[in-house]
Amino acid sequence: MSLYMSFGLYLLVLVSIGVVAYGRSHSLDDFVLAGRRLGAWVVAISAKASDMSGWLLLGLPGQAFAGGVSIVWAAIGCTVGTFFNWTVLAGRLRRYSELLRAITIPDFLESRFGGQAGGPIRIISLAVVVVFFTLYIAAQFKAAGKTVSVTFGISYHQAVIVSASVIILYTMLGGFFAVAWTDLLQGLLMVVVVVILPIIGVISLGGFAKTADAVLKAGPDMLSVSGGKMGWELWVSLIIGNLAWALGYPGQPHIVVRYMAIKKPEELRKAALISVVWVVLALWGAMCVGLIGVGILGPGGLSDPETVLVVLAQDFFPGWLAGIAISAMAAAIMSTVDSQILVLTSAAVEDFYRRLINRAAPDRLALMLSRTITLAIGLLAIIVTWNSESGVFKFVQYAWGGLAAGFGPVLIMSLRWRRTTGWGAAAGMAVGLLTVIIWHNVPALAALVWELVPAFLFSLLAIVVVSWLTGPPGDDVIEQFERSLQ
Amino acid sequence: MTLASLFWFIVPPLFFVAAAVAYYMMTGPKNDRRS
Repeated sequence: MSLYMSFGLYLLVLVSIGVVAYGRSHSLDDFVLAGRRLGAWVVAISAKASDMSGWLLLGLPGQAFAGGVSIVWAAIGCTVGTFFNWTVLAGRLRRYSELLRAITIPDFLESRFGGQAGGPIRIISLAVVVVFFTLYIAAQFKAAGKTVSVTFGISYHQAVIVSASVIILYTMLGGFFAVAWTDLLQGLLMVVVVVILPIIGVISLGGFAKTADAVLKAGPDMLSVSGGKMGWELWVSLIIGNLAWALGYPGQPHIVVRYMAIKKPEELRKAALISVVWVVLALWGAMCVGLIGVGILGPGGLSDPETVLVVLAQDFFPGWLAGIAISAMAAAIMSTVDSQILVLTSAAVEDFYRRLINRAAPDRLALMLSRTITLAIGLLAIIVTWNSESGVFKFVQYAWGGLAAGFGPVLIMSLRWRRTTGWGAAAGMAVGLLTVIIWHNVPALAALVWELVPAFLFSLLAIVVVSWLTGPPGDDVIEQFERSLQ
Repeated sequence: MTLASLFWFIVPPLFFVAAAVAYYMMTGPKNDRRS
């Protein structure tokens, strides 16, 4: 019973944050970017909580449980990506987007290049956002439904309704403020749980040496970073395949848009530090949860390795505390999906409606429209999710790759290479998008390597080649680029 | 062998935190030409 009460309380806190944030959202800028008024802690942790999704508390511990420490390569990939984003993109994107008065990524890219290529850039951006975020959001709703239904013994459909309505409600009410503040709470909850659980686990197993012995009983390679693999399997499938997650970071609008929301650009260095410490604690903690789980429960101890965190929490904690740990799992999913719903809403209202249909739309109308569209996207995602419970992480990987290739190279180049032209940017995005879709759907290619890797490289190449072929950008564009550096 | 390999499990997090601290120190107001 106390399990339900903790979870209920957690949901209530989320909705209350939505209500408080409602009072702060007076314009579209507030709704989609918190009016660029957030502090370093909120931006840092919100960026990470939006990034991590259900993989952190379900997938990663499950993979460590099943295969041992060799999954560390995925964690290293994610940490490299995090570090790259903060040091290479964050500061420039914050300054440049403010200079151009852009509040979304498609908006930034179109204003950055302008001219005749602006239209194609906006259309490709919208296509990438709509296709891949729809997949991503549906996958997250499925994950939420699965987790909540398994934990609380309710049906999958009831679980989807409960979790989705809470997410939709606070996002609709409070927009970016609500999403960022709930992310802060959810991010802290997640990291506390994955740090405390392994500590209690090691103590209960009798220290580090005994823990290592217990884990090794599950298999001789459980504590080997090569996972007992050699040659192509080791270097390409395990190491490069997992490090490739890093390539995806610059292209995730729901993550990078957070850098644009910080109040003072100088605070980004502090946010970078907080974010990297968070991601290290969270990823290595989550892996330790899986390892300690296999040490305590044995390799055959779970029918579904992804439930390792729930089982350990229920073993170690009293009911109410286990309820909080399980809330952290829901938090991992919710903090990602709320940010994604908001990106899709901002694409519909700012990038489509305000730019292409009604440029003079007043703020009140845009705000009302945003809330309606958030509700519509949420309901649509519930319908898409209704009939299937499978395929969560497969969808996530496809969507991650699509966003990575569609936006990653073009964002890096638009912020770092002044010679990039509008047509170069449009070509790069189109090539990235098409490569992901084709590579993913041709089995022979898909088996070779994750589509993200070739798509990212081809897109980068297309930007450079087409930019050189289409002449230098105009003086006004170069001058704007220079001003963004100041 | 496997315990030696575990060393590589522990080094990356320490490395990344050290890198983040170094970045924080290096981009401080004293070193930032923009401020």
